[in-house]
Amino acid sequence: MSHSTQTNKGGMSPLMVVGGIFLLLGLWLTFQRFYGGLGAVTNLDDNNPWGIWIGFDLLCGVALAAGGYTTSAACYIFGMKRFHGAVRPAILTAFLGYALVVFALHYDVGRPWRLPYPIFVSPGTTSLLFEVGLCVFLYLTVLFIEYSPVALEWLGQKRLRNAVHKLTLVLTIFGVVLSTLHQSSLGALFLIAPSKLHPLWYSSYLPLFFFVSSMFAGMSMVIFEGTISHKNFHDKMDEDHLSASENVVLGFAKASCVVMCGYLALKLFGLAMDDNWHYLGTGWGAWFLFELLGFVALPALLYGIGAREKNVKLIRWTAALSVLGIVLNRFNISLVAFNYHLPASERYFPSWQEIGISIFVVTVGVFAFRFIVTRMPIFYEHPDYKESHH
Amino acid sequence: MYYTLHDFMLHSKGVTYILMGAVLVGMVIVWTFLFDRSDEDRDRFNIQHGKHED
Repeated sequence: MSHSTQTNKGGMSPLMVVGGIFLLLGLWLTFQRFYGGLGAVTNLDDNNPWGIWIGFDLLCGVALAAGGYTTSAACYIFGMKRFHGAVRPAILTAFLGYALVVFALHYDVGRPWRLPYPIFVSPGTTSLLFEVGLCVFLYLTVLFIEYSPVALEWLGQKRLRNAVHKLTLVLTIFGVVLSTLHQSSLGALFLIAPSKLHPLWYSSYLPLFFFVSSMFAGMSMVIFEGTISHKNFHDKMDEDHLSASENVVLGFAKASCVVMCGYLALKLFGLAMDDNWHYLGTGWGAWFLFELLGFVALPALLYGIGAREKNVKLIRWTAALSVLGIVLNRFNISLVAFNYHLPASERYFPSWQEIGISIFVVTVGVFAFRFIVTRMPIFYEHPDYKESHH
Repeated sequence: MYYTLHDFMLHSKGVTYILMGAVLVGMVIVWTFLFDRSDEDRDRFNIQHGKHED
């Protein structure tokens, strides 16, 4: 293993060049957005005020960043220390995920200098959006503090690092509470629009659906991110991390299988309580079943088989399928099945600039992740603190 | 066709309760499918290493 901070000694890889182009394009689109307003770069209108910046950057970003609370809760609250090796990458992914959610939100709401207003100046305490905003603000702070020992170890700030490290359990509990609140509240946002969201996706259980699905989304993302990291940052991983990674994959696959089966059951209860069975025979029903069977039931089965047969490769592919499934689910709720009754000419489809900004945000995240893991002790124990992690 | 809210609730809740029962049975099957081999592995390990469960 090498802890060298030097990477890509032979120069820039093609992926880095593509990433660089996305960054430049994103900067140009950012200028267009803030100079010309929403109308200059988006297809948003009065019928569709929320586009992919909310559907993808925010809803998917928050769900896929749930690996932070699931992994740290498993390790520190439920005492499953065998998952310890996955905590730091998961916390980093969550921290960057939430930071990028807030970053991307600026593009939607504009006027970045007014971001603190809903919290500190004019809080709308009866609004679900206020609860989401407050939780994301608090949880981002919690994630920053949870992540900070990594940076402090890198900076050699031993005393400060040890002080922050003592807060781990409190921060984990706080993180789980905040995640429970805002993951479900994101689903609850759609409760205000029963006539706009197709009945197959609308349910009074939407908050529960969002919270439960965030659990397996987070765990799948931890497996998925671990797969990518193993391919690209293998030399940054120590023996402990490498030997524990299979345990993490198998353990999270089992947990995801159980949670997905529970989610599937909840979705059936939702259908039954609203007596929406007759919609299943329509085109919307086919799309609903495609989402539910192809991206929940199938991954649950594959996770189960993978965990039983200890087939790590199958589990890793299943994690990618599950991540896609979460993206599809959030897209369906916020975009596809939203305003389903409008004529095709009035339906929303994102402009290339909106898609470009979303790619830009993801690219920023990938570059930030790469910058941190190639410099800081994410995949290996810092030699000065080996004992304190156990 | 439901003529009263009571009709609707009786039907939809009835179906939901039946589903809940099926899910309870299903979860036991899922749990067994996921964990029975882990138990076999543990038993085999214990036999090979001469360990006995208390």
